[in-house]
Amino acid sequence: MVDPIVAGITVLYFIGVIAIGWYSKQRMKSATDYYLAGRQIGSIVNGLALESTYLSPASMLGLPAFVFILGYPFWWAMMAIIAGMPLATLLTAAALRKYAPTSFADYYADRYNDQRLRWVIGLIVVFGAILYITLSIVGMALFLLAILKLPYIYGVIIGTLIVVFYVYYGGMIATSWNAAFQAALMTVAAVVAAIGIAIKLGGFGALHQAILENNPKFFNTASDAAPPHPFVGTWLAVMGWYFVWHFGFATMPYTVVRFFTTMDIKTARRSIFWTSLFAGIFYVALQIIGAASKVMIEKYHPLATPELAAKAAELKKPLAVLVLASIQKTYGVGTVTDYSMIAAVEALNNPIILGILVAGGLAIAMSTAAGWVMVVNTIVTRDWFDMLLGIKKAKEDPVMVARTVSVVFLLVGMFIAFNPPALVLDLSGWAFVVIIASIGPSLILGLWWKRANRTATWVTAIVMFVLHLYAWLKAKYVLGHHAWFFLNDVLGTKLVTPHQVWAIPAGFLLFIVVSLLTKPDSEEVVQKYCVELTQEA
Amino acid sequence: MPWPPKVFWLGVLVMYGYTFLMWALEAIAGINHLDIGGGVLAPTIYAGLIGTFLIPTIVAFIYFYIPEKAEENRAG
Repeated sequence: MVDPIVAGITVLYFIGVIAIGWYSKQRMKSATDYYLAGRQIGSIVNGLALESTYLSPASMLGLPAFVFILGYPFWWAMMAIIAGMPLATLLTAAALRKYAPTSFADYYADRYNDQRLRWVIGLIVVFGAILYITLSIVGMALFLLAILKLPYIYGVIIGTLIVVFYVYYGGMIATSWNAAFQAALMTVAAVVAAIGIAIKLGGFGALHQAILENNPKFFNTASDAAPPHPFVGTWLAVMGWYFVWHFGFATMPYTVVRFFTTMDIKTARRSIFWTSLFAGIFYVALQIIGAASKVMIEKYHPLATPELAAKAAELKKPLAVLVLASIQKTYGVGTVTDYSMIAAVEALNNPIILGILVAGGLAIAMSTAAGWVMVVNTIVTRDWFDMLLGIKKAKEDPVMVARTVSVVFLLVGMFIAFNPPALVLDLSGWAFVVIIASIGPSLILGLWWKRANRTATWVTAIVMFVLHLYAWLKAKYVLGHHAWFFLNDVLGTKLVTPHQVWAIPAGFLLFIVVSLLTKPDSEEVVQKYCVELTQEA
Repeated sequence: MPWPPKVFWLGVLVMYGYTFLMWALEAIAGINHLDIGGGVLAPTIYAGLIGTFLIPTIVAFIYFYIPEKAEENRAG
């Protein structure tokens, strides 16, 4: 049954989003306004927008779900995501703002003096974008399920329609101002939910004891006799999780393009301070929610009945898993572990907190989907259709073409979201590692290393994209999980390398070796896009 | 050869140094089981509040504050 308070808070949220979007649309006068918000976004707004764009349902749903599965050691992966934010300040953000391009692919085409790079860079970004748009739609569907109690498939369709409307009528101005509003909302939502859970369990001390009583292994590490899960059973595995998302803020296209939208370099640097501040608060709250999810579901969720508890004991399975399985069966949810965070808050039986959480969850899903859609429609419309193919329509009416491209990508995401291939955090990690490994080295080293060259960019992009795709799919579908090292069956080992994270150092190594073995790029290009951009940047 | 400024490496040292120090203390001294009072376990403080919130925020602050000061000094 639909709870009127939960639904009412969600309606208020949508009124806020539409009002901001409408106001933004009145100010939109040119294609630059649509793509880059006229480069007039200040540090707090841009910092908040960065937070809500970068942090997706993979954060809000996926991270607590992985804490639920892997236990406390996964907190370090969350710490690494936030710690990766400041790295971007001096590594990429300031230099890229100084350069101030329009599209993510511009830097590659200019630095390596090869317009054809827009194809390969764009293709890899499009791959990551489809994964991210999919996980955002899955997230929206799960939050809509929490409000409307409708079958998951309807949530996917309604969620897609909402994002289509949002992107179609907004552009980057709407997404920048709305994203800032959404960041504030989702941070408040997570903090309120974490405090609500702590109060329900009798305070922070009692919360820790309840977690331990429910799962004595929860706070164990790789050095303890019984780690919480085999995938965090060695320090190498813990390190692997740590680095999956760590460099994403400095290299992922949907954050990098936000560095372009700031007023100046100073604002770009300051933005990241605000992002780290708010995202840090948000993540600490998520760590608490994830840690308490199992105990909350098992003690207080309305579906955790004595009959189901008896069945869980008989099957020797955790009661929380059966509660989630019951939700999966009732509503046809594809990846129900992603619902664990919402289920934990449902267990509070407090419609105001659930309403705020759902509004925050919809906020994070919408802003991420919109951010990625803006990245791909800039690449497809401007880089591919206009600059490479010279399509007249893309030159004459770029906003209309970009909107059409947005709709196409959202529809693709919708169809995949009907039956997602993995958990939302799995889709996120997959996108991160493939992008960082294949086009991260040419972005970072292109700025800081004169010898970085065009040949290495092509080789690394193609080799690492194909190799990582093969390794991830083999680990997932042949070995059973992406976290297994893809050659375990050949080597007879049981190494855990989440998302084939080894591909990141391998990508950098390959890039360096090929750069050293092949002809350097022209001195003029290196001077303009490497030396001058990083001087006092 | 361009090279990230010294303050960048200082921040890197703080973040990775802190992480590896805490991991070493977990492995050697089992600080992840430490009750710091009232039933609250130490990881919430050192991995949550300090590691996830405080350290990245401080590093993000010095990453904009020090370059700004340097720019002001250069400008006279």
